[in-house]
Formats: sequence, structure tokens, C-alpha cells
Amino acid sequence: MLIRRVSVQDFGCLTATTDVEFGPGLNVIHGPNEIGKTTLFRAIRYALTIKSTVTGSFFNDIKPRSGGHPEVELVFEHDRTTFTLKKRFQKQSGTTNLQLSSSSGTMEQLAGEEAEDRLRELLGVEATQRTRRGSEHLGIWPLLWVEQGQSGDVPTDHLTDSGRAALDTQLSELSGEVLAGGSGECLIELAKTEYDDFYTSSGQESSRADSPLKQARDRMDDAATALDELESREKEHAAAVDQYIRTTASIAEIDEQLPALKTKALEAKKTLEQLEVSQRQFEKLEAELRTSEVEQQRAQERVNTRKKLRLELEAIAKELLDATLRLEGARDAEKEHAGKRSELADALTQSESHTKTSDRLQRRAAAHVEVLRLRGKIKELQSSLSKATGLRAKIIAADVQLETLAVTAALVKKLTTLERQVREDELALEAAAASIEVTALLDTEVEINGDSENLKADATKKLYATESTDVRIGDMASIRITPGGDEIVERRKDAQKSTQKLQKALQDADVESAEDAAEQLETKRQIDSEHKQNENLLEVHAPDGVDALEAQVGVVDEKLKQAELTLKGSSESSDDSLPDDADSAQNVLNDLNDMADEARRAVDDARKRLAVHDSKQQQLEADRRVAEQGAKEQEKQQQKLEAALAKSVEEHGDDEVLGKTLTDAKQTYSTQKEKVDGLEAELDELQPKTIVNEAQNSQQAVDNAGQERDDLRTAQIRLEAELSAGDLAGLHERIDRANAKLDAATEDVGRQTRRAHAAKLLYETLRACRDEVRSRYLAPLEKEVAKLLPMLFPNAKIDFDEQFKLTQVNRRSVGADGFDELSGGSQEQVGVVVRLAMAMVLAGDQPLVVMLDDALVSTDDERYARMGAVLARCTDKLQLLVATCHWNRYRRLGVPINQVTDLSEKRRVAAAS
Amino acid sequence: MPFNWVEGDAGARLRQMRLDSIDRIIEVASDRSAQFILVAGDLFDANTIEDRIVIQACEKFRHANIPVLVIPGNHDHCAGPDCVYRRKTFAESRPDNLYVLERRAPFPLESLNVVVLPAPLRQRHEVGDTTQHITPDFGADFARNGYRIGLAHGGMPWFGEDAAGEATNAIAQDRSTQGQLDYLALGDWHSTKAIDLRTWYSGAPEPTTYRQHDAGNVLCVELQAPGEDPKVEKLSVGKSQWLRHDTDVSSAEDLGALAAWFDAIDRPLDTLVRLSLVGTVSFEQMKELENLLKLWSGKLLHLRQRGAGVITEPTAQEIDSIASDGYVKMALDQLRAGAESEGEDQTTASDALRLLYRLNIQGDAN
Repeated sequence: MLIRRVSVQDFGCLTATTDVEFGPGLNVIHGPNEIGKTTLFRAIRYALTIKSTVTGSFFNDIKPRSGGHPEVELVFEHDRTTFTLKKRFQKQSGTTNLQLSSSSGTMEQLAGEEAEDRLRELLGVEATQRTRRGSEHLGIWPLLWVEQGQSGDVPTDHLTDSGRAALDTQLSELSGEVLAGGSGECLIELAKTEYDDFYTSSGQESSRADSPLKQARDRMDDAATALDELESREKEHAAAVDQYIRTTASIAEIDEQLPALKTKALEAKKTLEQLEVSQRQFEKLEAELRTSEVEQQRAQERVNTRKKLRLELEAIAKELLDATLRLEGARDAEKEHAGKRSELADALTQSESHTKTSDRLQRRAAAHVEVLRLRGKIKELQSSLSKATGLRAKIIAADVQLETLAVTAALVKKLTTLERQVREDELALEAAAASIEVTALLDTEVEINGDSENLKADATKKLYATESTDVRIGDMASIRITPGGDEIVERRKDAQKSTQKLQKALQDADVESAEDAAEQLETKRQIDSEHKQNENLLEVHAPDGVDALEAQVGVVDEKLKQAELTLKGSSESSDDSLPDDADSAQNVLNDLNDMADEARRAVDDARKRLAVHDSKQQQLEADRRVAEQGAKEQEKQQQKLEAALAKSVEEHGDDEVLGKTLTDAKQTYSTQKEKVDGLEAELDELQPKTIVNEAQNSQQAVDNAGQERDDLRTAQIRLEAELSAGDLAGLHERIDRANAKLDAATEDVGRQTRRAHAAKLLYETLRACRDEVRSRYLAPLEKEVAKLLPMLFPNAKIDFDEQFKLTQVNRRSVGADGFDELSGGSQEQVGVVVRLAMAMVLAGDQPLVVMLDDALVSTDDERYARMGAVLARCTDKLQLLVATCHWNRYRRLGVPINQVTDLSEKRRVAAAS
Repeated sequence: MPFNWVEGDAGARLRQMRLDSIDRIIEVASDRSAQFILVAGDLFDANTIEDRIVIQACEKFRHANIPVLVIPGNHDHCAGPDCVYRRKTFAESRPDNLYVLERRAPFPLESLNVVVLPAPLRQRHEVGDTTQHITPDFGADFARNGYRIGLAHGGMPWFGEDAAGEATNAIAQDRSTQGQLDYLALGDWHSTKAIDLRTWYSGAPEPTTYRQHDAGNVLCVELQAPGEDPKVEKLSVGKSQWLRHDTDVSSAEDLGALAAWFDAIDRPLDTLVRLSLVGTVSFEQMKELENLLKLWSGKLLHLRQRGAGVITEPTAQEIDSIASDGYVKMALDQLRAGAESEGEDQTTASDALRLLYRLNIQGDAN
């Protein structure tokens, strides 16, 4: 379909007849706001889709402000036929005429309902009701005719059911695929509900409490746990029964064995008692033997002791003699050493006296050196003080001189400037003055303002007359020259003014000229330089000031007096005189220092020698005391041994008696030893260890068996209590019930698992098939979008669902966005692109009209340029009617001039005509 | 048997039938003028059985008016204080005519010139021959020239895997000869079985599983003279009927055959049926089958279904009606291919296909 022309009259704001021609491709209707662009588009829409007899709000929308009845004439082509449609909207009296002219030359005229029916059939729309009821009946056109403010809407909001069906038909034809439509979606939804019962969205088994599989598993786990507990109780019971049987058998076994064990233990005990009687007899004899052995040992010890005493007495007598001799020697050595001490004490006294003398001489020389140093110092300070005083006087004089020289560099500069201004003004005055050149032909006297001068022949006198000047040339002529005009008067005033200004400045500065001022400035700079030099020198000689220097001289002088007093105090009449030269005096002091050190070392040596002597004396005294002690102890030991010998003889008789006692004791021991050995041999034959072991083991066996029986009986009682427990009655039935419950739950898990697997397989299969078919089915639409969208956003892609709803926009730089997440500008751009792409699919091999009424109001200039390219790209298939108030944005697209309508101009011409 | 796998009232009815079998035994004994009753072990299912069962069983035996001699079996063995026969409840409920032979000691019935030689089980699994003590000397002091009757519980070593008795509680096959017995009454095997002319398992008086082919009997044993072979008569006392039926239901004819099988059941109110059905039917046939099973679930004492069961398989036309094009058709084709393949996922694919069919119907209904 291609609209060729529209003529509108009395339609809304378009009252005068307005004709607009259209061509294929892009057509732009521009003009300011409220000029009627939207009304023009509405007129086209009404002509095509609204019956001429419409009333109510439909009619009110288009009712002209000036009265009359809206009329629209529309010429369009479709399928090689030209349609001329004329509608006059006049409520029930409205008229419709449709003329069809085919390319073959046939002509057809239709009117009224017949014309409306043909029109609806052609456009695929349904009859309009008399009252307003949305756009659902308008087929594909709400998608393609983008009304003002609707471009940013979700495109499918304007896709009617019949429009969707048309798109579906077209896509099915292009792709060879058929989608399942609503029934498929319903099935997927139901399959998903089934799937959701068992799985999470990520395909994991659902752990939700209401999942049938989870519930079945929980029931099975609970049943298994309950059964385990019961079976465990049953096993405990069975184990207790087994234990009871074993315990009872063990008790019976012990009861059978115990009498024999007791008999055996009794016999072993008797044998052991007999053995013990023999052992006690043996022990008695053995004790007697040990007594006689002790007696024998004692007699032998007494004999040995006496022999030992006699030998010790002989030895001690010899040692006492040696000790006495050592004592005498020690006493002699001590006496000899004490006699040498007075000599060493004298030597020390002498050294100490010598030290005192050398110390005093050293102090005197040191005081002398200090006096000489201070005298030198005071001389230096006085010299500096003298120089500093002179410099300070010079500085004060210079300060006075500088105060009188008030000339500054700025003043010099100012005077120089004023002088230059005077010269310039004078030159300007001269320039303005009358210039007079008098050349003498003969030697002549020339008088100018009374001043005469002789001028030689051919000589020339040049002068400038700035004011009235009298020139007399000899007696021949007297000439008065009076320069005139305003300029010379101004120049003269300027010159006088600058001269006065200069003179006042010279007077204020008390100078004759700028040069004089410059000279005074130079003089001031020289004095200032010398002043600074003197200040630097004063800093060298008196860094802290002259007063401080004077005080320092006083301090040093006081120190000198103190040093002189010290010197005087350390001198004696017998002393040699000291040199007045400082270096010589220092040398003398150094020599005396060495001498004093030497004397002190001599005192130290003498003291050490005396100390060594005293130490030796103490050692000799100690040696002597040790010798005295040793001699005393030997004497005491000798007395002790003599007393012990006397006591032994008194107690045990003389040596002969002692020998006989020993012989008797040996005889007694020998006899008893024979008896003990005999009895021991007899006991060994009886094997006492075996008898003891046998008795112990057999008794232990009886005890063990008794203990074991007691333990078993205790266990048996415990088991009896356990086996009589009340909870055992009915356990059998409970296990049976739990088993039945577990079986049922296990079966249910199997059923639910099978249900889950089926639901999963069905849902996943349906989804996979839908994705695959949808991908092929939507390919033609996506292909059209792919032609246009990258012109707007490079590498961008749009995903649709099977209801053609835009699910997301994928842009490489931004990522995936839902349509709602896009900016307002992007929404209208993407919306227009999608609607254009759908229009391209719907167009098939026939052109299709797309109307864009101010569709890109939120679009910036750059995107506008891109959208222009998008529109241009569509013109081979679509007829685009674009209404805009920004013609400048479309100018660059090169729209043919006959397809650009300035609606404002059109209306002006229409109104004029 | 607690029969807890039988849901609802049926389980309680079964338990009651077992208890009531005591009444029928007593009735048979009375009819045949029996002089005593022997119970060859496992009077009770477990030593941990409920007190209620113990009390009711005792109460029923009280009416026998003849001695009832019981030995502990492997389920009610007498090892310790937990033994049901040592339970206070039993002691308080035991009628005077009920004797529990816990020990391996001859039990004379002097007035009848009979000595009963018991082989009670003292634990669940006794190693070796539990009747080894029944030699010619055992009980020789009693009933000289009288009747020697053995009473034991266990299995024969040659019983196959199907034998109910455990190999540990073995009984020598020729024990009646070795012990010079006139009759050896055995328990443990739930079906009636003769080992030789003098050795019999009476079987359980009431069936307890579908595997037992000849349960629900008591034996009436008539001893005419010592040393002579006894006259043994099998008498039915069981009330419940346990039937197994395995069949394929894949057509209307199969459905008819199943209905006919049900119709042929005698005493359906006392009958338990274990039904194992396989096959595939259409939705309509499934509704029919469900109605049939619902009807017989009500009639029978219990109807238990086992195995894969009958599954609903939509017809090819029904499947095709789901979708003729689009991705639903593609999914349908893929699932059908999976369902027809031999792979592991065949079952899942079939289930998914059926689910798709069901959801489609559900979607249409919505």
C-alpha cells in the first residue's frame, strides 16, 4: 500500500483545504507545534479505518472548530490498483465513496457501506463501533502507525491479536516453522508446575517441605529410622537372651567344678603346714649357728684390736718428735722477717716528702703559665676594643651624612622623565612654530628680538618663532613674525606646564637638575657601601658589640689578678725565678709535671714493698700457729691410745687369756654348722617352693571360681531384669507395623521418583523443543532487527519470546537490559526499530505505510543521525510518513523535495486561497 | 502374625481369625473325641507378643476340657525370663489343662498309658538335632508297653531353601524309629506334610502367607495299639483363603477374563488376593479396570496389588491429537521415540508421554 495524496478540509484544526502529496520511501511533514501534523495523520487514519457515519467521542475528536463537516480525500495504491477514497464525516449522514482504477484500465465505484466493507477487507480491520473501544479491531495498523507519545511504549503493547496473527502467518511462511501458540505455553506452564513439585529452578532435587518426593523420602527415612530403632531393640533383646543362656551355662559349669577345686586346695594346705614346721626348726638351728659365729668373730676382733693399738702407739711417738722440730723452725723464721720492716718504712716516708715538694713546684709553674696567658689575652682584647671604637665613630658619622642625602632612585627617574617631557613639549612647540631661515646675501647684522648677530654672506640663520618675534636685517628690513593658530597656543601651554612642573620638582628635591640629583644619588650609594663595610669590620672585632667587648676586657683583667695572687701564694723565697716567655714557661711546667709523676710512682713502689713484707709476716705467723697446734694434737692422740690399751687389758685380760677365748669359740661354731647343713639338705628334698605354689594356686582357683560365680550371678540377675522389661511385650507387632510402613514408604518413593523423572524429562524436552523452534521461527524478524539495530547500537541484539515480546536488549558495551531498564530516549529508538522490523516482515512484497508522529522527541542529535540512517534503510520496503517539528534534523537525509511538506506554508497558502 | 501390611479392618479380622482357629481346633477335637491336643511349637509368634493375644489364646484353650500340651518353638523359645510362657500374664491366664513342656523331660499321661517326649527349643537357633535326647531309654520309665509320642519343633535337613524351618533346629528324619516312637508330632512347617507314616507336620491351622500351599489344617491322629502305625487324618480348620493371581491385562478380553476370575472366588469375604497385573490399557479401559478393582477391594477380605501394574497408554490417535505441529509436536515425537527405544530411559519417556497427554487434557479442561 502506498499513499499518494491526502486532501483534508474542516478536520479538527485543519479548516482550509490542505493538500499534501506523498512519494514512495521517506516523506517528512514538518512545521511548528500545533500546526496540524498530528491532525493530518489522524485524518489519514480516520479515512482508512473509521466509518464516515461514526458518532460519539470518535466524531468529537475530529469536529472542526469553525463548524462544517470533516472531509478527507485519500488517494492510495495497492496491488496495481489506485484507490480514491472520499469521506465526509457527518454522523448518520456521513458519506463514503471509493473509486478503484486498476492498471488494466478497469474502473469501479463503490459507496456507503459497500465502500466501507471493501476498505476494511483491504486493510484487515474490523468495523468500528459507534463508541470508542481501543484499537484491538485495527489489525496491524496500531503497530505501524506510531502516534505522538507512543514511540517509547513496549512495541507489543500495540500489537493486536489480529496483528499478532498476521505476524505469525508471515513468520511461519518465511521460516517454515509453526509455534505451538498459547496451548504450547499452557502445556509448558503445566509441565513446569509438575516439574516445580520435584525440582528447583537450577535442576536440583527440591528440598522444599511440600515436594512430594521429599515428603516420600522423609516418610521413608522416618520409617527406616523407626524400624532400625525397633530392630535394634530386638537385637539387644536377642543378644541379652544369648548372654543369659551363656551366663546360666557358665554358672552351672562352675557349680560342677567347685567341690573338686576345694578338696584339692585343702590337701595342698595340709602339706604346706607340715613343711612350715620343718622350716621353723631349721630356722632355730640356723639362728644358734649365727650366734656362735658372732662370738667367734668378736674374739678374733679383740685380738686384732690389741695388736693394732700397740702399732699405733709406736707410730705416734715418732710423729710427736717431728712436730716439735717443725715448731722451733717456724718461730726462728718469723723473728728474722720482722727485723727488716723499719728499713722499708723509712724509704716510704722519704718518697712521700719528695712528692710534696714536686707538687708544689708544679702548681707554681702552672699559675705562672696562666698569668702569662691572661696577659696576652687582655692585650688582644684591648687592641680589638680600640679598633671597634674607631669604626663605631665612622658609622655614626656616615649615618649623619646619609640623613642629609634624601635623593632616591625614584626621584632621579621622576626628574629625568619631567626633563624629557619638557624637551618633548619644546620640540612640539618648535614644530608648531614658524620656521624662518634668513640667508645673507652680503655680510649683514641680524637682530632678533633685540639680540643682534652678524651674518656672513651666504650664511643662513634658522630660527623658530613660537611667539611674536621681531627680526631686523640690517637696516634694510624689520620683520615681525607672529605665529598664529590654536595649536601653537596649546603647545605653548603644554611646554609651560611641563617646565613649571620640572622646576617645582627640582626645587622640592633641592637639586639643580636631574643630573645633579643622579650625582647626589651616586654619592649616597658610596657612603652606604662604606657604612656597610665598617659594620662588617665592627662585627669581626666586636661580634657582641663594643660594650660587650669592654665588659670582656674587665672579666679577663679580673682573672689575671686572681692568677697573680695564686702565683704569689705558691712561691717561696728559695725558689728559682721562672721565665717570662710563655712557651719557655710552658716547657718548665711540662718538666715539673713529669717530675711530679715520677715522685708519685716512687711512693707507690715503696708502699707496695711494705705491703708485701707485711703479708709475708702474717703467713709466717700462721705457719707457726699450725706447728704449735700439730704438736698438741699428737700429744693428745698418744694419751688416748695409751688409755685404750689399758682398758682392753682390764676388760679382756692379757694377750694369753685373749688367745684361748678365740680357740674355744671356733670349736663351738664348727659343731653347730654340721647340724644346720644336714637339716637344710633334708628340706631341699621336700621342694618347698612347689608346695607353697600348689597351696596358693589351688586356693586362688577356688577364690577365682567363687568370684566368677558371684559376677555371673550378678550379670544373670541383671539380664533377668532386662529380659522381663515391660517394653518387650508388643515389640513383635511394632516391628511388623514398622516394616509395613517402610515398605509402603519405599514404594511411594519409587512412585514419586518416577513421577519426578517423567516431569523433568517432559519439561526439559518441551523447553528444548520450544527454544529450537522459536529460534527458527523468529529468525526472519531477528534478521530484520539485525539489519537495523546495529546502526543504532553496534553489535547489539534483541531477544523476543514467541509472543514477540521483547525480553531483553543485549549491548556489548552495556550488557543485557530489559526494555523497562532502558533510558527514555533508548526506549523510543529501540521501540521504533522493532516496529519498523515488524513492518518489514509484515510488508512481504508489497509496500506498507508506517506513520511516525514526532516519534523521536527524547533522542539526542547523535542518535537522531543514526535513526535517520535507520529510516533511510527501510525505505525500499516501507513508505514512511514522518511528522516532526525539527526539519533541520532530516535535511541531511536528502529527502526528495516533493516529499517534504512544510505544513505551515501549506496552511498559509490554503488560507490565502 | 500381626498382619500389619493389611490395611484397615482386614488386618484385625485376620488376627481374629487366627485366634478363632483355636475354637475350631477344639471343636474338631471334641467332634473326634480326641483325648489330648499337641501343639508342636510356635503357639505364639514371638516372645515379645502383645499381652492381649496371650490372654485371649489362654482363654480359648480353657474350653478344651482335655489336656493341651505345648512346647516352645523357635518363635516362642524358652531361654530366659523374657519367654512368653514365663511372663506373668501367661502365668495368671494359663488354664489348668494347658501344659507348657519347657524341659526335655517325659510327660506322662498315665490314665491314657501315654508318655509325651518333648523336644522344646530353649533358644531360637539350637545347634544340632534337637531330638537327639529322644532315645529308647528316654521316658522308658513311664507308660511301659504304652504309647510313646514325640513332640518337636524344627526342620528336616533335606528341606530345601523353601522350607520354613531353619537348618539349625534340625530333626533327624528317622527320629520316630530311633526313639521307638508311635508318633512324632512336628511343628515349624506351615503346610501339612508327612515325613513317614509316624512323622507328620500338621502345618499352621490358619494360613499366614500366599506361599503356603496346604495350610489351615489340623491332624487327627488315632493310635490303635502301641507299635502300630497311626491313622492320620487331615482336617481343615482354616477360615481364610489366600489366593495369588498373576495376569496380563491389555485388552477388553483380558478385562473380562479378570472379572470372571474374581467371580469364581468362593467365600470372597474370607479371601485375600494378591494380584499381580501387567499390561497397558487405554484410558477408558483403565477406568473400567479401576472400577472392577474397586468393587473387589470392597468384596474381598483384602486385595493386594503387586508388580508393575497396568499402565494407561494413550492410543496413537490420542497422542497425535495433542499437537499436529509446532514445538509441542516436536517434543511429543522425541518422547515417543524414547518410549519406543530399548534404552534405560524408556520407562521415563513413556511416563513423560503419558504426563504430556494428561496435562493436555487438563489444559483443555482449564
